[in-house]
Amino acid sequence: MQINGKNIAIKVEALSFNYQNNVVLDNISFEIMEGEYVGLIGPNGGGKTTLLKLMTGLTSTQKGKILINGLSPEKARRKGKIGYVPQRIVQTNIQCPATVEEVVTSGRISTDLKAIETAMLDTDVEKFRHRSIEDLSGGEKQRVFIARAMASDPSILILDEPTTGVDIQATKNFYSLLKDLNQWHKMTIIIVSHDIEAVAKEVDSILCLNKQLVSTCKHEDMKHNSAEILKALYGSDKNFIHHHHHNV
Amino acid sequence: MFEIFHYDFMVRAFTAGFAIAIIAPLVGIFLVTRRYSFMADTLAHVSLAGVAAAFLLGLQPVLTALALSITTALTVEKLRSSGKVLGEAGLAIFLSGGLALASVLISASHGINLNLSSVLFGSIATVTTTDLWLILSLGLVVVLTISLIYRQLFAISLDEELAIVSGLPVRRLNQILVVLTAVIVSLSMRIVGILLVGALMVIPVMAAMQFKKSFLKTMIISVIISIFSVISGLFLAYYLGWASGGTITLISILIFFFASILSLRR
Repeated sequence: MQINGKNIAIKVEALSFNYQNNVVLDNISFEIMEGEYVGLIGPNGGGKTTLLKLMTGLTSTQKGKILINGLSPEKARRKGKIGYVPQRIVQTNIQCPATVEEVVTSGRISTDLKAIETAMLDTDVEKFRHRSIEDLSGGEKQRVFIARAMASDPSILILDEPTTGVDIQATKNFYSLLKDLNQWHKMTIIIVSHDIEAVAKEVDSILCLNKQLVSTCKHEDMKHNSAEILKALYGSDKNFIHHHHHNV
Repeated sequence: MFEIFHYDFMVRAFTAGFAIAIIAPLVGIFLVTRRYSFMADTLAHVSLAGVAAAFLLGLQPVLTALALSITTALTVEKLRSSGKVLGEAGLAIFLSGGLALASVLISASHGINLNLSSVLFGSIATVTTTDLWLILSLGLVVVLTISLIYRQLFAISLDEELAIVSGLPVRRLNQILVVLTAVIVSLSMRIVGILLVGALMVIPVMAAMQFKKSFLKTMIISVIISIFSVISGLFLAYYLGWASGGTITLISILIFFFASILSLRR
């Protein structure tokens, strides 16, 4: 699938999802091109997590379809096409004894030492490869799990609320890592966040989701229209800022 | 000191004990990290019903216990993965059910000579040649299986959801894990006894985890702790006439305490 000579990385078509008679996603369609860096924002309960679970194949679709590189999410993940970094990884205490190297290696089904080394070098975790993950800070742990996601040479990288529970410096490093992966490795990245201001500075385009797709816009438009987008998403700016803070 | 090896039954007990000491923590580490430790105890109670049934019907006790606990393990795993019954609550039903069935079968078979205390707490004198061959051959199968799917099992221990997105056949891996657990439980009941099988799978692993090493090293340390507990436990059990299972378990708990103190002081 190609548009203007570029391949489509993710195609979502007329996707709807209900949970216990509640509409969670209502007829959503969009396309993400290969190498695009996309922010997915929206209020809690707006369907962001559900959309992620559908894209990663953790939940089966009910109506409409999702294609990742032309494959269903279930097929795409079996081919190691989806790199996923969930939010809770940074926040929860991992009960499993493991070194950084072991965690990164577990991201790849077949052992390919070179791919694993590359993933560790690209994310700058190689220097503490023998340390136990228990001893890492939130920011370091996050890098390790990005390295783990990168180990399978995915075609897309999906990150859920990645900066929650990570300090300011680590957040900065994190965004510059994503920028590198996007620019140098042409990685397609989808980042889910509440923090529209931080994300808007980084990404190429933004998908605003509140059960329906409220708006999709490119970076340039965002600067001018961010107030309107916020209004459409949250009702008012104030509300949004409030919303943001109780998540910290 | 080594005159005890002049007795065939002691040689059998030590060989069987050594084999079980290796395989129990090898599978146990995946139960502990997946917070599924209770599974071993549940299957042990179901195995007791299997042993009782075998005595009543004149079947081979280890094989009967094995068949019943594998069936139970797969049923429990199916219920758990479908989300229909809460993990622990589901296990509790099977644990009590197994014990209840065992007690009914034992009471129904009065007159049949089932040495209950040796089944419950382990007895070194009861390892038969058939048991030994079963333990060695199935033990080898366990070791081979673990070495083949070690990486995958580690991935689901780290995080099940991530493992699914990485394309691993998580449901199948979970099934293999519970079947291996059932195998070990049935094999080890002669040595450690049904009530303490879970201990051998869990306590050496918890002791090894205190050292905060890599997963692989933790696994190796837990096997060493387990071998030490079993061998020293069997010696003590023989010379002092104690129940082997209880002695082995107490030694491993002592090691766990020492390991915790060491890790706190670091």
